Amino acid sequence: MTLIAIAGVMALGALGGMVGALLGLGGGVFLVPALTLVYGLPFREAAGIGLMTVIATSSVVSAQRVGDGTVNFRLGIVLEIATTLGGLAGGLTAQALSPRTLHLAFGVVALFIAGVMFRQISRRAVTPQGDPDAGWLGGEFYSDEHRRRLTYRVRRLPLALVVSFIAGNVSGLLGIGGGILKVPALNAWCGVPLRVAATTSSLMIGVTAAASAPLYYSAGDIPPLYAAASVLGVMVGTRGGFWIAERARARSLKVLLGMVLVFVAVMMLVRA
Amino acid sequence: MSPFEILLGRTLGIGVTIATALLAVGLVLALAAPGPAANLLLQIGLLVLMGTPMARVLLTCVEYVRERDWFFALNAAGVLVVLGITIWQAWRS
Repeated sequence: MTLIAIAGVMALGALGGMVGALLGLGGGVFLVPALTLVYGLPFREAAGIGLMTVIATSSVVSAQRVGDGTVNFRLGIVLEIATTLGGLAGGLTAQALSPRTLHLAFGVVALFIAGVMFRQISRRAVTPQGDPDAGWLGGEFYSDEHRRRLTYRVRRLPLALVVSFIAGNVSGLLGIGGGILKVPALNAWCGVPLRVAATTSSLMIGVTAAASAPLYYSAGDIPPLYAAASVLGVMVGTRGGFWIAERARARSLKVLLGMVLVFVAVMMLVRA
Repeated sequence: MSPFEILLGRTLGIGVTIATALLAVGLVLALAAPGPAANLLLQIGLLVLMGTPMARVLLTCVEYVRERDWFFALNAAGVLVVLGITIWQAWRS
């Protein structure tokens, strides 16, 4: 019985990780509702497990991406003040809210995320056209369009901080990474190249999740067996997802999975 | 890519590898022979996992202090303070 339950959680983790990697969402957005809807885990336990998988994915992906030189560590550490504060606040709030409110919040956020995703599919990323000066937070990136390295500046830092705080808050409250909320904003409004925004965000979500995970842990909301099974599943699934993403046409897949996300969101709202 | 960034990447990679190994062994042990040993491995695995990104921020702070890059050192210290509040809150409850 336990064995079957553990294997099931691991499979859900693998599925969540795979779908997350395909969409650039991180595993939590699919794993958390799967654990509550399919497995009947209390929402806070699902969120606690989600946070552990976010830390694992973030660490693995960042360890690999450091070699590319696209991660902007200085921008990361500045925004991490906002994301960790948001994470801490979200983690504390989650302890006080009823499961019904949390389900409701998850449904609303998942719908919003699906909306952002659909918009991203139909819209092209903003490629910075090159600045003479990187400023104190900017850096360099390789532009496929220009076929050379360009310099970019970070604009509207206060806006980036506000968005980061909100993303951190959502992460601590619902046990998801929240990268999908930061990346489009950093790209469209703050002049950060999409690839830099994505890799820097995947670095940040780890410490953001670590700013609320201990609260879940001490409240007993991270069941060790299920958490271990999920983390292991997500590690395998994420690799699988990247493997598929490199080989498959992503667009129609994204539309399909976006609709799955809408369905998940509606299920969570119904549950609430 | 600086040696410092390589160190950060390696820290994250090693931390998550140790954590997953502990969780994997703990999980197998918990299924084969449930008991305090399995539980201990799982708990340590979870704590190592939570500590991994925290260690990265700590190293970042140390490096910026070493470079006398005070603004970024202060930022990293700020993140450490937030993490400290989280741990303190978790400890208290």
